[in-house]
Amino acid sequence: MRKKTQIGEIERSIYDIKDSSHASYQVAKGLTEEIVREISAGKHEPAWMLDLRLKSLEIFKNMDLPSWGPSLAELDMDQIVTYVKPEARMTDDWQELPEDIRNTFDRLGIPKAEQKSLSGVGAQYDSEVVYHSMQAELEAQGVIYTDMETALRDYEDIVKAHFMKLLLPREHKFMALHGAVWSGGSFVYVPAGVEVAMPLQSYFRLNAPGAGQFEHTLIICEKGSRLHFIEGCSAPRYNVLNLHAGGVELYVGEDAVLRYSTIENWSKNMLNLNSKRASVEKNGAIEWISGTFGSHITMLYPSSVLKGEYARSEYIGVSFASAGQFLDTGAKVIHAAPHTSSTMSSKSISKDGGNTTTRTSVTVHPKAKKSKSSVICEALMMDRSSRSDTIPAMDIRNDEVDIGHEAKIGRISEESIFYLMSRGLSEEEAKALIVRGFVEPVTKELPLEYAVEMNRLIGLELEGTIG
Amino acid sequence: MKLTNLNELQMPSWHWLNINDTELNLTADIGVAYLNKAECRNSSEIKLQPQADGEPIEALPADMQRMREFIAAHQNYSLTITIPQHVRLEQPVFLDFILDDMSPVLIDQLHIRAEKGSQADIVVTYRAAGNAVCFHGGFAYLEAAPDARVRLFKIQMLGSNDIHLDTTAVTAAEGGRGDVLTCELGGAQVISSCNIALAGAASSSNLDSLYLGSGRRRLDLNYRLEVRGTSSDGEIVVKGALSGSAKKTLKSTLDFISGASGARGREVETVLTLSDRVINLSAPLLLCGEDNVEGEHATTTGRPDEAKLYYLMSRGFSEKEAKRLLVEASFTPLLNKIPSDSLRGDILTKIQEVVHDEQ
Repeated sequence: MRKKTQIGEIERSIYDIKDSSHASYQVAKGLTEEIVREISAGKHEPAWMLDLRLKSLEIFKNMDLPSWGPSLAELDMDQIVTYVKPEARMTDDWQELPEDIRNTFDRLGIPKAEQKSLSGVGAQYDSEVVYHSMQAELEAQGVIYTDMETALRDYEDIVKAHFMKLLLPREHKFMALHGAVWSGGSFVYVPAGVEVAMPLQSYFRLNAPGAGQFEHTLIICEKGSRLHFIEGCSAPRYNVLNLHAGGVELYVGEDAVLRYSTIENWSKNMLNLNSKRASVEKNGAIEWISGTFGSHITMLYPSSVLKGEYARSEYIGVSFASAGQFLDTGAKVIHAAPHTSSTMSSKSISKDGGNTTTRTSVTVHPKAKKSKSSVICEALMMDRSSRSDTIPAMDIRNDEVDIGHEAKIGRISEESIFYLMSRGLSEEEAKALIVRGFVEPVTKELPLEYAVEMNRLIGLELEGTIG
Repeated sequence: MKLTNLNELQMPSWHWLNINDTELNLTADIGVAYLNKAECRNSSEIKLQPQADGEPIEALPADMQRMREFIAAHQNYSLTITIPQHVRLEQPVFLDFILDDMSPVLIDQLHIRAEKGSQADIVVTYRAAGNAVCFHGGFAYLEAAPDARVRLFKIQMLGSNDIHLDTTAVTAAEGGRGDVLTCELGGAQVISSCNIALAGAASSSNLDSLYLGSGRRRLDLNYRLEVRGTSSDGEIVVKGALSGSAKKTLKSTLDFISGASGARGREVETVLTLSDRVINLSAPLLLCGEDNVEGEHATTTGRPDEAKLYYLMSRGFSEKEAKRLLVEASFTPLLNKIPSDSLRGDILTKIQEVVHDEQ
């Protein structure tokens, strides 16, 4: 009897360790105007931010859950705690953090990565950022990297001009929710012409059971600047639902290049309903690198608005779903100017009843003449109890375009195994090579340490033959 | 009368795309008789019954089932065509409908039964004459029994103000083959769908569609290939040309059902755009609940190739003629399947009109 290719579960032991630390303060379960006012008052926010929160709350109350995508019927907002303040104050010294919080980030390898390969690090624990640090030389060049609350206090004009201007609360229910209860997140400002050599990384850790995390990341790259920003997220597993509805707004100036990498490994009790959008000016570029491994349900589609001539976007994503997971991921791009270009490359693996959906959209406006777009979706099915769906859409409104879409679905081909074996590899080596090669477009775009981490996450264990 | 939730995308997506479903405001009086005689040619070896039964069709999507019920409730023409066991027709069967001032409304229900081992080509044409604004609503069901091989051609050449609301369902049993080729060449608003169920082992089907969008024509096309049988094989090929301010929405779905081990499926869409005012929407879905399958999809859209245009123009063709030749070349693989020289000629004339008059 032929055996199937086996791909192991993602090794989660590091991520599943729960901290004993208690919150210093948290709001009551549910979502009310009082809770929203309480969060805002606790942060001593300006009136306009409270106003934005309250308007978002109204929109949230009046909007239905999405009628497309995986069912979110199990989400009961009355059981979610939207703000949990950890027993820690923000610092730039890991040693000043409470021991168990420090140990958590140690286990996740954040301080080590900071020393070896990062220009700066932000670490959020539940609803607040507890650590933020950046190399002094970047500060001297005018780079700002801080938590959102500090940015709102110290750079209010910049924040006010950009905050939730790309992610509009009325767009969908969870963007409205984010607008109402956002907390934490990172603010990055890169001045014109500054190239940040090593990446900045923000890590978001949700420890409290039944809680939501709603961090807001706002990045502004001025003309000719360059930045690689890495976002990591994880949480231990609980028997109650946790909710993540973060928001990411990226402003990419003329000739600027921003790479935004995400390795997401939420626990399987998490609803990950994140929103990300970039606006790209003339000759600018946004590069999305996305690895989605955890969560019970993910709905995540980074969106790029190509506003300036010759602006470009690139999306490379991989998702890996096993039992009980519904990973609905993909990307959106809007070509709003001439000569803009976009590529989307999506890879998904489903096993043991896991469900992956790749959802993409390409919109080309009438004035976006001579634009180009290429979308490639590839899905690997490991067994028939799993599911893999591809749902692309293209809305093309001028004729001077070059648009292509390709999708493929199937299992590992026996011909590929045979070819590699004819070149001297064992069957096991051949299969390992093919599966690693399948996700390689993502890993090769990450810094070495993160590529290793991602390969470890996938935890491929291959045995037997194809069949 | 407003018909809603037509041509539903099998798995809905973002609402802002306006692609999940469509609707039709129907102003025609649909309670009238179809007075013209539908001419059925080459029918000596087949059985014709002037009614179509309403037996359930397995796995018909909800929107198409509603269409079937609407057609059944308002039909003014129905026919069952039976191709007896092991009968292989040498000549195609033609069924020609003309809508005109006397009979501007046709609501037809057709049932084509291809019995075991039979073989036939059925060509159904819809044309308009006169000045009246015409409405055609139709539902056709093609059953391919084991080892039957049937090709159904539906050629729509209504007038530029007419409305065409059409659904085709196909079921192919073990070893059966049910091919469909639709040509959507006329009409102001075209809402057309086709569902092919490859139900039996080693069943197969090609769903080919050819469309022309010109003027302010609105085309909403929804094609689905449900792959259920083991080692079944299917293909959706859609080729179109858009000019003027035409809008086309194509939803095509390749759906591999769990258990369809060894099945293969392909979707290919090619769109030639001849005007900068056209709107071209596509949602090619690839759905999979079975690991041992091969499924793929490809879409290309854009202007006719400039190098080819330049070559043809360097050989003395005008730009419009060169474009017409390239559109014809794109359509030729599908056109060649149509078993009628005169029909192919009519279609080529339509292409010429579109390319010459609507840029």
